[in-house]
Amino acid sequence: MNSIISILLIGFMASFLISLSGSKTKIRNFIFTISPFIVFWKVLNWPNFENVFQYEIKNIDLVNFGESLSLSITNSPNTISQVFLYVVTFLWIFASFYTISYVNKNSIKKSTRFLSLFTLAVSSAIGLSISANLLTFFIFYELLTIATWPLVSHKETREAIGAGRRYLIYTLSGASLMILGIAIIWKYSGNLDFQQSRGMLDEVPLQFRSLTIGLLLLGASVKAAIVPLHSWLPRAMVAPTPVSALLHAVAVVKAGVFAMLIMMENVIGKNLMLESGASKYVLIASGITILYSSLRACGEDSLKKRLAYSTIAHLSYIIYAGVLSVGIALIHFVAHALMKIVLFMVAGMIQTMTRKRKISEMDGIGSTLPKTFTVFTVSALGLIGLPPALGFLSKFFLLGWLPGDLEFLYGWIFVIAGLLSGVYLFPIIVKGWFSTNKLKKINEENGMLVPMILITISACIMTFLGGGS
Amino acid sequence: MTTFENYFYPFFISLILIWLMPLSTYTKGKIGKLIHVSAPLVSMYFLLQGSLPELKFVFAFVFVLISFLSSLNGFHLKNKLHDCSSLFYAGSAIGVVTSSSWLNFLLCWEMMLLGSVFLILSNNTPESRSAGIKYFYFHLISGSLVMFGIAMGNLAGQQFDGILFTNINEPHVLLILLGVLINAAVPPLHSWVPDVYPKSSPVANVFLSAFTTKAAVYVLIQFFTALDPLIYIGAIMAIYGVVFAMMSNNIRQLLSYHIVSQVGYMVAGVGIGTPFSVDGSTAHAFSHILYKGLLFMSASSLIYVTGKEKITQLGGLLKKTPLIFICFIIGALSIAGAPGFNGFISKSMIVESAHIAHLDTIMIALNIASIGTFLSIGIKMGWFVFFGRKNISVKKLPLNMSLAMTLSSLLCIAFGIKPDLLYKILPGKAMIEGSIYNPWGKTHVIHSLETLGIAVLVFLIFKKQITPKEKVIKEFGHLYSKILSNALNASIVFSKKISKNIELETGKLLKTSKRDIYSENSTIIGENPSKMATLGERLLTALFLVLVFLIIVK
Repeated sequence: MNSIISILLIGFMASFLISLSGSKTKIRNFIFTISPFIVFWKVLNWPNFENVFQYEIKNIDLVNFGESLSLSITNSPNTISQVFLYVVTFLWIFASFYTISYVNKNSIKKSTRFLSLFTLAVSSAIGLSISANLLTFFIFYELLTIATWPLVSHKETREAIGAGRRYLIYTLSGASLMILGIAIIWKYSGNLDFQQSRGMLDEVPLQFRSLTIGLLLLGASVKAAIVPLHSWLPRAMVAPTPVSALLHAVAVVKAGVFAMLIMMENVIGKNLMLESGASKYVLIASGITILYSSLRACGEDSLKKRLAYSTIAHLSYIIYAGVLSVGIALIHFVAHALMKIVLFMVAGMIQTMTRKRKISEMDGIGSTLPKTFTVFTVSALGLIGLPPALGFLSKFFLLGWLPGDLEFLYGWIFVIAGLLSGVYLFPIIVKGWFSTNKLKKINEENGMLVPMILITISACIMTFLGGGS
Repeated sequence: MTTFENYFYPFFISLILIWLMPLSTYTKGKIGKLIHVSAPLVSMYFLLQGSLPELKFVFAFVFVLISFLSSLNGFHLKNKLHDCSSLFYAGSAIGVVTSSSWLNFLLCWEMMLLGSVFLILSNNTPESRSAGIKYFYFHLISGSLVMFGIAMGNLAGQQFDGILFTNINEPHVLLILLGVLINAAVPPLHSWVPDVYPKSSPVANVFLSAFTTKAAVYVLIQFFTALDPLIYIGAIMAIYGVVFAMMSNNIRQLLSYHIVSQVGYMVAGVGIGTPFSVDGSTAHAFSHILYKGLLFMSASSLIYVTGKEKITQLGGLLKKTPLIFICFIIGALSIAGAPGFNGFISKSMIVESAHIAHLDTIMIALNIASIGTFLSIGIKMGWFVFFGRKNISVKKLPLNMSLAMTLSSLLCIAFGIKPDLLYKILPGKAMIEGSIYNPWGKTHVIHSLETLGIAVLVFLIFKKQITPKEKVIKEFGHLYSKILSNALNASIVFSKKISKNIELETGKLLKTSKRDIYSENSTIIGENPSKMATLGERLLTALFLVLVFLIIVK
């Protein structure tokens, strides 16, 4: 029981300590890099994870507001939450090392604030995954938003502040819709705990049901960047790369997708999704998002923005698949996290080492930064759906699900989107490796390189483990 | 059979190549090249040790053989990426024909794409870059379709060997077939062959000509035997390739069109579907890999010694490069099916089986294609490249290239004279009506000589028309790829426009235009409460509208 609270608290304490550390950078960096290890170790040793159903489900109230409202965490999160927790804590380890080198190499100003808020954001993502009821879920969801906002605006330029503001307005308005929906549920059922077996909307009167469904899904879809609510994400790429890498490819947007999946699977429930026709709307919206943002990515010259649009498309892959089968959605959830974080890290590396941001400037970048670009190649191929990275397997599973009447439309969208991701990623690879102008090799920063390599290797290993089973 | 023999061993033959790839890449100089050349020999050793099913063995054997010959042909080349990707490509192609589970097959199929695309790109010219990207798109679609088919049919856990798809109305079968047909270069999905192959390096061509299309033929034999439409597709391919080969001026493009044509024979053989015709397809794939490899080797030697590859720029090379001429003529006679060369023993099987199945139109089409083949390669290319009065300075040919060419020529002749060498290892042992097929029957020989004679006659009559001209070939394949790329560009632009509109609208809604409330140094949102109030109002209005919308919808 203690271990659950400790998972939550370590992150918050680390964030607090970092903010106190002031000019003692060594201690600060030590806390920053050691805390993910402790958290990940704790998560791995969580006894209930292997056999959720044998243990009694225990919710721990952190704060009790009365009226059956409480801030509480659970010792047995559902599968979606577990996957989210594993992905975030696992990638946090690598991202922390990357972040330290990035901060040193780029001599980021006000780095203590940056690192402290970074830790806070990841911790709230962890809190999100182990929350026991919708209210707690909502609070951590918003904490994540607010902790990320100063990170987006960290550079304090006009552009960065504008992007931060846009980010905040979008996500907070989404949240206000969501809290309305949650309030309706609470008014009628008086209970916000996640149910394992059935949806939570059974007691809501019929006339309010579709309203509640709409509110919940719309609220969650802002962070999941569904078109036309997506435009905060490409703008938020003005943030320092570690933020784009861990937060805007994994934690924040995945929190949005996670919220979508939780809403569809646990809060609304599969039956109600189908009955109310909501699943159809979600399918159409995410389908449009996939096509639109893939096309948009093709026309983008800034590497980070292209990756951002690609992220939007891939988030909708997950939601699209999640409407029909959560298991398959989760495979792509993991695959995309592992590959996209590497691509962003590479973008940061290229920017740090050569000051290049635009793809049109990246002629022969492969001979300048060979190891970095190898990693980029493997991950980009994975995102297209080619071996050896995990994307190959997840594309296979995405294509394999047959939802009956939507069969025809369903798979083709992934075929087309896969082709489009080839269109927007493969020319970068060709441009990077094959160029007539000979460039000098630059020494790559190990602190940034090693995390990328390790993530890529683990993504490749997972392909073959998954293929074997 | 043990698990090892069933699953691991077939994969091992291909993996040997892939495992030796980094070793060859990281070893400098001649030793690395030696590893590159000897890797297929190691693979051959393991192949001969084991006991693969016959069909797989034939394909794996010829793949290993050609990868040895073409590595030998490329021994002089100093290009690490070429070495590395060619081994990877060969290994994964062998993986395709030896794998015995669906996932292995799919993995190798996609790896084959990676190997070949990097092999094309290794040439590192602007043309090869755009060609490589084009190739990549074609095969990405092919791979996606095959993957979609396998996933849709839920085949991953099912049996691989011995399955035969007969009903193409099932969507997953159709998808796999389409994906495979792209790889088999069926018009109009063939333009990746004649457009891309001439842009890659001449040495890489030998690898490229061998694997992708023939792996597709293997899949057709394995899963789509006796599918009627394939007969007609094959016949059309055979003619189509020859027609455009007649018009090509670039020697490598000419040979590439002949890949389309020759694969047409194999596809037709698969479509006819009797055990004998399938044997014919297998044998023809075997022979084709050898003689096409030989032709591409002589093309690469020609390009090496002269630095030119257009027929109009070449001529009079007979006395300067007699070895290339001899090897080229052997290749040309083989592809034309002249008696005594290996094309003869396999092509006549397919034509014979069309005859037995009473498919007379098909037989005539294949014969016409035969005439065209000899006319365009043997006579047109042979005449205008090696004869005439042009005086072209030549470099010395490296020893390894002449060695590889000579070896391939000897193999072509050996199989032509002793067809039993090949017939023995075929799945059906080339049995026809209870006895082993004899290609040296009187009618066959006369028929074949007739074909050659007609070709010579046509050349003598239409010499003027056949003389190559400097002209870019325009065909259907270019038209639709242009339309597709234009459509893609248009939709990218369109999406940008939509995006701009969305940005503008939300900008209006949120008031984030540039002259807005914020100065450089303000970091906190909503300093101005009245502005925040208006913002709140706007948000509430938007919210209200959404609610109304939802209620109306319900």
